[in-house]
Amino acid sequence: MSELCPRLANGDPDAFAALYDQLADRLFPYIVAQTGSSTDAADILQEIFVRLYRGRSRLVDVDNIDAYVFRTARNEVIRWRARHASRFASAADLFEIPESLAPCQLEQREIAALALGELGEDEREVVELKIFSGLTFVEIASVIDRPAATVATWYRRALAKMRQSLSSEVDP
Amino acid sequence: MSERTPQHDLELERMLESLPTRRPPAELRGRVLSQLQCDSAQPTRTSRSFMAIPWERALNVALVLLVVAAPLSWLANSHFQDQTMTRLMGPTPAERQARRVVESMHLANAEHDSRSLRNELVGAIETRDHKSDGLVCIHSLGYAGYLIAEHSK
Repeated sequence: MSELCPRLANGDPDAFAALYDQLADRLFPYIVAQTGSSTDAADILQEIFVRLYRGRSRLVDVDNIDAYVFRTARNEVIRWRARHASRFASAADLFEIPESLAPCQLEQREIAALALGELGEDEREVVELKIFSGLTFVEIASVIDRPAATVATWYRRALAKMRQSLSSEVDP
Repeated sequence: MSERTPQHDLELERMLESLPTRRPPAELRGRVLSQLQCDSAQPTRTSRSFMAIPWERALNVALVLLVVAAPLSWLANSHFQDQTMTRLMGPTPAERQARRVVESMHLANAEHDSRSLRNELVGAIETRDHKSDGLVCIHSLGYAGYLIAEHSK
């Protein structure tokens, strides 16, 4: 990924297309989870790339482009939240739900979305970045500007809460 | 800090990862890339090039004009007001008293006593209603000096 940075800094359109292909599928669910709206998430994703393009001269020194882009995304989400009321993302917002889906699979998604909604804001964000976006603890730490050890603790605590929440949903 | 996860958490992770998350709409890629192409017509926004944006340039020019024009306008206005006030008020009490000093000196054919003249002029200035109006006071002094000079020719 590092060889992409000089090309991005030069404004190479192919490099930006490659960056989009590499990160859009991982950025989108994170933004949807944070905003609760896939329509707004699409606009925010576009704004992120425009912002990256306009500040492309700074990309030449970036060590980890994934973390840098996710940090830009997080800042954009924070700006969006200052202007709009965000809501918890439902299962329908978060997950693809084909019409042919079996009821048990549908239920699994709804329970997962509910369990995520019960987490604290920081824990939920860490889980979203780890599970939906596939970032490492070190990358998440760089994105949310917290020590990696704190991120790991929040993640473990979040999984424990979710496990408890899921087991109570499955075995009432 | 370790990325290794206990077994029970691993199962939960796998379950969550198996849920297919929403993907961005297919047309978004084209929208984003064409937006970047439109943007490439403009220079990169850096602190050095921000003046290239028309509305920012216009705003900066307007601000500079405002900063320069405001004090000049204030100075011109106060100068005009001083002149108008002097014209409208006619001789000020200080000027009138200066005239009286000079006339009495003339009548008495007195020698030029700078000390008493100075005291008279200070008194003259203190009779002004607008003591803070330094320009008018200075004008009065200058006028008195002019009359003295004329008289002593």
